[in-house]
Amino acid sequence: MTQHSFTKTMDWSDRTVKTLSFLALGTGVSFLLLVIVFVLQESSLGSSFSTNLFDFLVRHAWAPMATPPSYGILHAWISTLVITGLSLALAIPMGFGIGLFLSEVAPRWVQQVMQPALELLAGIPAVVYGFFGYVTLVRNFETWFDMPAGECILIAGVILAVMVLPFIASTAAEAFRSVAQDLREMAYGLGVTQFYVTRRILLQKALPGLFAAVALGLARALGETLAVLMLAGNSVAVPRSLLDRGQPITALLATELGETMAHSAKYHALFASGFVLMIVVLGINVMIWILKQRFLEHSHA
Amino acid sequence: MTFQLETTYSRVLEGVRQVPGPAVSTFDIHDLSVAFNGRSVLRKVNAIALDRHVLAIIGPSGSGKSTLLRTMNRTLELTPDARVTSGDVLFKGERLYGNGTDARLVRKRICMVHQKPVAFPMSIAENVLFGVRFHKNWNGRRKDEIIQNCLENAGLWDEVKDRVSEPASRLSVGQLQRLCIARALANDPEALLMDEPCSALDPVSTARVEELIVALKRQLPVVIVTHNLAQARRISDQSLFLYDGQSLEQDVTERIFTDPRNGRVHDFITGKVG
Amino acid sequence: MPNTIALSTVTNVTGKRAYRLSVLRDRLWRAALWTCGLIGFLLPVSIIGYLIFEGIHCVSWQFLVDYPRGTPLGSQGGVWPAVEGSLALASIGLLVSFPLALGGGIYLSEYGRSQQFNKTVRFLVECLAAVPSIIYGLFGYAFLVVFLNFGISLIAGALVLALIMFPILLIAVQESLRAVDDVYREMGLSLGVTRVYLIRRVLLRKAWPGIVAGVVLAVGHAVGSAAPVLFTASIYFSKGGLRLDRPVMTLPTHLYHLVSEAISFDQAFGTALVLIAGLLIFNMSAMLLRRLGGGLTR
Repeated sequence: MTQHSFTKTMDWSDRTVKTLSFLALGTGVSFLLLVIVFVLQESSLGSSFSTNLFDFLVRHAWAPMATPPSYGILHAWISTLVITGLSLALAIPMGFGIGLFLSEVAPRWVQQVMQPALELLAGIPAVVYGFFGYVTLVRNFETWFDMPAGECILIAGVILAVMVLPFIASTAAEAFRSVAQDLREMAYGLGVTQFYVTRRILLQKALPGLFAAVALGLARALGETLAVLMLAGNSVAVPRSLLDRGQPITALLATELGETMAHSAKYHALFASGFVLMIVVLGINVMIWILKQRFLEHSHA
Repeated sequence: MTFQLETTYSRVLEGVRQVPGPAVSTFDIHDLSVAFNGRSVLRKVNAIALDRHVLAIIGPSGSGKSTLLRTMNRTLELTPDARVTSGDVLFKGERLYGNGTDARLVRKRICMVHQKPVAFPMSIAENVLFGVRFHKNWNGRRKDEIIQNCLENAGLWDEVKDRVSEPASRLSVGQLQRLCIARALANDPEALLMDEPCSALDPVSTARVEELIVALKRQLPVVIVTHNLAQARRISDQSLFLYDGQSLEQDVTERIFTDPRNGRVHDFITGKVG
Repeated sequence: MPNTIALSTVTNVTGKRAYRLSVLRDRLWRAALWTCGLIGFLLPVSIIGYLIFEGIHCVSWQFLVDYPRGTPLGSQGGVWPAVEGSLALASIGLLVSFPLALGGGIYLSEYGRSQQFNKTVRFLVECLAAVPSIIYGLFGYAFLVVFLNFGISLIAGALVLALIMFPILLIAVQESLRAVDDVYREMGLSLGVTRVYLIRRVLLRKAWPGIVAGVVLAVGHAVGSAAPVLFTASIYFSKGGLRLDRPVMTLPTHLYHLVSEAISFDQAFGTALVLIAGLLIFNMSAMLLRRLGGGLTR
């Protein structure tokens, strides 16, 4: 007999729904892609903004009002790096600690209390964090350190650390939990202490998941706008100390966009900065994706 | 329709027990071959199932019993990469894998009960009516008639008659399986397929389901896949032995269990081979 | 296999001192972890507590329904137009993005063409979900406000929020549907029903809790975000009255304005509290909805 293929006879209702849902998917995804394409387009067009990449990133200062106007984001990405670095330096150890706590030490009821607590932390809007940081730290810094205005990159970094903490903590907890139970039982069965087990086994086995946690926190920190806008100080000079004011790329965009005329040179410069930020964050996400795949393989091993 | 059966199956006709009227063939499987992703799973399987008889499909695990069952109501294609490569399944003379056949209509007329019973997220009554509401094959029956009849036939009515509007998820596993049977019966099927219906059940529920099957066979053909030889012996009229994707022997159950022709079948029955 | 465990550090020196040392280290370790956990718990509690403490005297029914007053504007009065604006933005955004995400999620989970296709789409969507919201604001400004000439308006802001919410909703729908055991599909389809009927009567009901959770996440994220709305929809003061082509006040932008112009910290505490309380109430009522809607599916 000849080969029989399976004719999927679909009802007209099936066919309609399949088409409609595909269109829905297509529409949504297309608009998302449009964002990327549009930002790219708006950043490279415009001959009045024809600086090369190196100058833009490193040499020029941000002085759109000067003659000739100069567009460079050195101060911005340095601020971004410092603030992000600081926040991760604080949030990673704490986040891993909480993750280990949740997966190894905490009794059931504590886990159930911690989970909503972390969700709460993650759910507080950025502007509220900025406000909180302002009324607690900024004002006090003015008295403690004798500063005319308390905003500085230190405060921005600290608050950003708190914002990023729940993401790192829950991803890390997941990573630790996924380490197979039998590995643990084998180790404990040899009579070693918990600290020992952690050091030798857990950290190793959970490594891909931990990388994912860090990458997640990093992406989140890089993209934060409002909190750093309110706390870092918005100065176009390159910061030299932690108590200096800074202006990460996101804050730069937020500050300058309001006063920009469409399609002016500054407009294109802002889009270019946005594009740089977007590329970096996308790159980190590609890395997270790759790590997640390996992470999944590991936990099934 | 009465068929002139080939002489190959003449032994099947002999000693057919308690069949009112002539033995009518419902399922007629000819040289059926199925492949999963190129890998051959069923090879030229031949079998028949008679109306108002229970056919048990037995054999070691992995021999393709469930696969064969699923070709009989066109649920095979729900598994990705599964294809019928040759042969056909006829049901009352109609080709199931013919070009014009609508799979959904096949599944409406031939219903299947699965191994793991599962309740749809709705009340017991709505579960029973699930297929009926879709196909709208009320056939002059009223809603509560169907619910009561099918639940009675499935042996569940007494236990749930006061709570048919409650969520079905509260039933025990044994009750759920009977609910699944009721649900299948509500569709007014012309044949019932069962894939290891008792393997997830405790002995008491198993006994009830077996009673059910024996009662049901008075109305329609039942084909049941089972790995439990004792069960096959208890409830089936005929047995088909599948080994490694091939149909080795089909015969009246008593005959297969006491005096099988095929050596492999003999080894399996006597427990020499698992 | 822990094949490299050297037991020597514990049992080699059979002296009691080595053993006591390692036990001590273990105790310290556990204490450190408990401290981390404690801090992790205290942080949200103290932040919220502080805001409540400072802001509760400011919040009243009057505060919610009154318009901003005083000189400078906003130092007294209430936040009603901001509440109105936030609600409007979120609802319109949800109205636009939810059907698309529902359809898309259903397609990916039930009709998806191939594993590769699904994975690619998922990858795209997850990456785009991570793009900073200010970039969406940038896009919204350049494309919706300027290019399409919507102007700074409610509709522009709502569309930007819809863009931001779409990936979250899509992933929630797809994952919730995927989580439904395949047995349900087999069982339903083998009774001869169409996929549409199956999705409608069985799968969506079972996926409902997960979908609601996704909606809560998406809406919470949208309501709280100021960055994308700042240049696409918000205005510092409005006399109320929502129109699609007019800008609106929103709670987060109002809070930002009060702080950055140092207008009134009292009002700011009140605003922050209203925002947080609103989000909490929303979360809790959604949890209720999950229980109710998913009631038959347990």
